[in-house]
Amino acid sequence: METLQLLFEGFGNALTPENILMTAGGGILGILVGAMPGIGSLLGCALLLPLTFKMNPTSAIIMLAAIYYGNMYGGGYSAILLNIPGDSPAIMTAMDGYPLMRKGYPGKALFTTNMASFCGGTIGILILTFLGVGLADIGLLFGPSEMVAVMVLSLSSISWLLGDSPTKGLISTMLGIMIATIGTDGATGMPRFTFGNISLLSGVLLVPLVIGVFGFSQVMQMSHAKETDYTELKSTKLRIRDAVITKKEAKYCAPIVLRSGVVGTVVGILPGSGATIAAFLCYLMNKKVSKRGKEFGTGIPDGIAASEAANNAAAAGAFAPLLALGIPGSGTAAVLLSGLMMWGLTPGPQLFTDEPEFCWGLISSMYVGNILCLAMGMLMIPLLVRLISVPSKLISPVVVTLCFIGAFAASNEVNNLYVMLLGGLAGYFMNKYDYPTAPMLLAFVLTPTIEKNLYRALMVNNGSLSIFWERPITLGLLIATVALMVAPVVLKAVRKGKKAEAQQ
Amino acid sequence: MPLIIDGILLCVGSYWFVTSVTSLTLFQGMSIGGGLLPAFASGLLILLVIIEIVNTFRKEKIDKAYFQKTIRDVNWKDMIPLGIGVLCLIGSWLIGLFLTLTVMLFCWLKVLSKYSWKKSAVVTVCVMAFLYGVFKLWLQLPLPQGLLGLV
Repeated sequence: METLQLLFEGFGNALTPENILMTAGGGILGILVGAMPGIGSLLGCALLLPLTFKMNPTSAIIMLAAIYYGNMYGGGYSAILLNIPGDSPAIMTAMDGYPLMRKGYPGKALFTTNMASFCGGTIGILILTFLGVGLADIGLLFGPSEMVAVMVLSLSSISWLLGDSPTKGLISTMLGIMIATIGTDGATGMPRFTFGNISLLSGVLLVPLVIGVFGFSQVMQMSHAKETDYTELKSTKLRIRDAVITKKEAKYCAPIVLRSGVVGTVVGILPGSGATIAAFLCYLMNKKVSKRGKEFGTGIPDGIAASEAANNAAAAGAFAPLLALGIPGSGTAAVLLSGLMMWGLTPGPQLFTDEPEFCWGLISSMYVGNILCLAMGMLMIPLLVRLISVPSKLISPVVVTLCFIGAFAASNEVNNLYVMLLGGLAGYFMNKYDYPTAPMLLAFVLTPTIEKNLYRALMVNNGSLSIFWERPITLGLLIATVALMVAPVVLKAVRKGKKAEAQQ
Repeated sequence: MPLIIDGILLCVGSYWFVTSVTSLTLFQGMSIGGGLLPAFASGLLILLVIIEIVNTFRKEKIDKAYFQKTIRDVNWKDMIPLGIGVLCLIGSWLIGLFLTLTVMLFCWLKVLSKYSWKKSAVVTVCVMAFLYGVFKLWLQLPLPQGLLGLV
């Protein structure tokens, strides 16, 4: 009851004309920054932080938070329309979004991304409102061994992505791990596979790699492909209601959004995880458990819903440890933390009691911002759909230009351009010879976290592996991993046995 | 072509494995060293690539005709964007990234896409003005200037 009362008081603060303007402005900037390949929420918030210097703390954090979750909306747009994820959390959106667009349903893809983002974000904010403080305490129980177990659980799900040739899928996974080991070893500080290049000391960045593997390789494939006929789209006036998914599709998507919303929030709360891992994990989880799981990757709204609901929920979840404990769960949360400190606020257990107006004003503004982002996203659909009726001979050079600027913008380094081109070449041949790219990217994302936490877990336990079965959460997660890997094999054997019995 | 790709992967995997084992430590003190994970991944990669090569030899007759056919399978026109990308890298080193991309966009539209001078120029100006506005003026990204000191 008390929470509801505080929330309503927060709405009183969030719904002032100034704060509504901040929310709307932040949302628009977030969507724009999110749709621009290479910028992402971290860079977007960092670059726009100076804009908030002269504002009062509540309005400032409301604006930055709106940029953060607006970014999650925008990242999906370029993933769907250009096959270039605007930011790393939108990588899995491209898996189904782009094929669905190519099938001739760009409106449906954009509608799904908006609705899933809204629902996932709302689930995340609801959990943050009612359970945020408690969940943040649980998040603190996750030490290095628990993080290793969570990441191993995520990595084990790669088997669901391997495609028709498990050998090729595993080769792709190993390549991802190898690329992730380039640069300074996060645990020991030793340089590895840098070939004497100083710029490689910081490792290969995910964003230029993704832009290359998805965007640039796509342009290479488009150079001799037949022009897709979008004349029908061009001639018809597309309205928002034409983009709405069918009742049947909504029925498939609803449980996916719910699952991704809850799991995404929890992953967002865990330190060092963030929206990218949440999107990967939820996409794979839903591929395994949902009714149309086998069709994931072929261009169905379900896949978009899984990824988008998860990354928006994780963005909301990241605020729980930030506000309640002063621990940033991701890079973007760290920028927000620096903002809070700059405005003289000390995040931690006392913040909710000392500054209730600020905390609840922020949480309430997230409800408002989520609705505003949905409205803006929906209004943009007809305009965005027009973009795909542009012929590929015009769009290809523009995409190449975006690839270059986006890859450079990821960290303002020219080396990113080399990574992008090499990623494009690798992506082209991988697509041509049926090597799945998703396992490579998932392994690339998870490897640094696994290695760093494995190092720490063994260090704190004097090199003994017993830490993995002595801590209950770690043990539980590892048992879940083994169960998930063994269950399909056992179930298959049982079904085979029953079938043989029936035949006899 | 698959065999050529497998060969490249085998070389890369072998380099990674040898470097991990010889130049990096597998175990350090009471924990893992920087070489353990790359050694594990590259070792497994080598094994998997060998399996792929064996499968290819089982399925196909490997002779000169096989290599000629697989090289013909690649549409070398697909490499044009890559070539343009390499030229852009050289261009950005000389005249700066933004100017290089402007020239590239205009030339691509005029020469490869065969648009008129007017349409190519209008599209180039509109796209680059938008990108300049967002990345340079608004976000103030330090775009590389090149040897001639141009943007």
